[in-house]
Amino acid sequence: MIRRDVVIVGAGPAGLSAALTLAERGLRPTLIDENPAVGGQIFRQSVTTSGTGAIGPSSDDAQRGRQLRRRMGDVQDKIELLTDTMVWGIFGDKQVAVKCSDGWQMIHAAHLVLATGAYEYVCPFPGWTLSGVMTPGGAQSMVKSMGVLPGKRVLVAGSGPFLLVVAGQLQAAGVEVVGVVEAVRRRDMLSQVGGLLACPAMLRQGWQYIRALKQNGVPLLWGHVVTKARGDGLVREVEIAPCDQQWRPVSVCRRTVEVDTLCVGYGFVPRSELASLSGCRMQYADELGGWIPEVDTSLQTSIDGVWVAGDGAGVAGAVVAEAEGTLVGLRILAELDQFKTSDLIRTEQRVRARLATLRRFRSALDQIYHVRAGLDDLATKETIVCRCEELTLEEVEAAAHFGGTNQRSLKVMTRLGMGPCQGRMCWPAMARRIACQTGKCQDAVGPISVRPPAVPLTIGDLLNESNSLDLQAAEALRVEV
Amino acid sequence: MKYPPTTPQPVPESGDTTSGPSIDTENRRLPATTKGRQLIRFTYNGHEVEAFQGDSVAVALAAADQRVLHWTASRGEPRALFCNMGVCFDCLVEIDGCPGSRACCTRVTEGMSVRSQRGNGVWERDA
Repeated sequence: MIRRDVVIVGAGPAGLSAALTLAERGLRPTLIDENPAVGGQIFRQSVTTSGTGAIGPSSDDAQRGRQLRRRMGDVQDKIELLTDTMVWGIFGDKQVAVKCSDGWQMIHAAHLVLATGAYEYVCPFPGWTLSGVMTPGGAQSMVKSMGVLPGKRVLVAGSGPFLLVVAGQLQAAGVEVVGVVEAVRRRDMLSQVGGLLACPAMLRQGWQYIRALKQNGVPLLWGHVVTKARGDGLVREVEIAPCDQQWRPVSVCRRTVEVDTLCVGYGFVPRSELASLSGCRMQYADELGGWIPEVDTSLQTSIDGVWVAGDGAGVAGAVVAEAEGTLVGLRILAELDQFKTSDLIRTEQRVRARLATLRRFRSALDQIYHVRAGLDDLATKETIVCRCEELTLEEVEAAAHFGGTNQRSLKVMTRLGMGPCQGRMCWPAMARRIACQTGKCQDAVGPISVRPPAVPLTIGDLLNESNSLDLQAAEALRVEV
Repeated sequence: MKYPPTTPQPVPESGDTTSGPSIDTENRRLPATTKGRQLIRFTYNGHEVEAFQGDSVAVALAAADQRVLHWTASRGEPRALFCNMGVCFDCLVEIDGCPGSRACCTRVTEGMSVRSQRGNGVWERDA
């Protein structure tokens, strides 16, 4: 076992800014990410050397990403960076099991920062398992980081400002974006504009996305949902329908659009399985995307020395994630008695003030875009709801009828969530549905229970102890506190 | 293939590379993004595929118009890239004889052998 003072899981905006905050003030954090480069999903670096210009992230994001990477360059030797490294379990008292290319290793962290981000929420609907149906984020990273187009005729659907970003990037890369289908009705969005004024710059950015789509002739349909995808193995056409305030499709004015790719996502779900594996007390926060660890005002969880930052602590986007990462970094410095100068106290006050402003903007966004119950009406009896175990809604509802109204009993009765995704894809939608139908609260229905290994491992992986982190280096990296 | 199928669909015979309908391959890859990247050759179901350094297996196959990566165990339905970030496990393929490998999270290397996975797949030494 190797010991480290601070282990940060996830090198997106939250993890990266936590690592930088610590490294810039003399600590040596260990930063782990499963991707080959830092930046996470939002600041995903392009594989091309020349940069991608128009198809890169939006200019503000790109600028923030560049800034973080520049700071990273300045303190590179002070951060122990483990890319292509996956955390497959957290055991006992902050013991982080990692898998590197040459085997596995256990790292005992004095402070553990979970900055694991989020993944997209897709509600089951007929045809969602067809090839060519994918998440907007998945399509975006294909184009952005590898320069490959997901399809030629693409419909972007779901909800949230992220759809606008993805549609714009796909369009700029040469994809024919046939439209953007947004479940929120325009009037429901406009009624919340007051709250959005808390961050005029971000509001302006959203407006620019919308204007760019308009200029490029991409129709933006507010108050519509995708009700069906059809095709012969591969998606060929998509049916869209107007919806009501609860995102329930109405039967009038349905129309069919021919596409070869459908990008669909209704916001994000916090990736909180590592927090739950660490034993943190969890809570359900609908407006923040699902189950998140309970935290104090310093983002420390119910377990001493386990911290969370970014979307994994409640979906709020990259700007909030960056500020939260900085805050966690500063608090860990304080815990380690490295926090003495008034300059650092001022920094913390500034970060907290920024987060308070962002919170107003973010709660207005949550009001607009939080997932509505009407989406439950999309799935029919035959729709597959658990992609791994290929269970239909009918099968799950039959089990629910016989008492399978919480996560454990449903798992036993149907195998829902027992496939390789461990319930990450099916459970958020099924839990919502069951909670809605039975009137139970989400605590009674239960969170998914991801168990180690959280990522696929072979027995062979477990036989090889990794040498990428050797003990001598560990001693050298230990900071005297 | 009909959706939803009422009976389990036959899984294509080993070596069938078409794996479902395909779309036009032309211009799937932005030419500007291949500059300065090393060309890599790997095989998919025994057929040579060209890719570039840094590509994930899933994206390299998408660029080569091979969308379907995995055939499900009980219904034999084709699955393709879905989340592209390692969460959904729809893109499972057999990489160098190891089934259950996520095509979106594995980068291509020269000479890599990738096969579409049927159901839970087959370990090479068991094949």
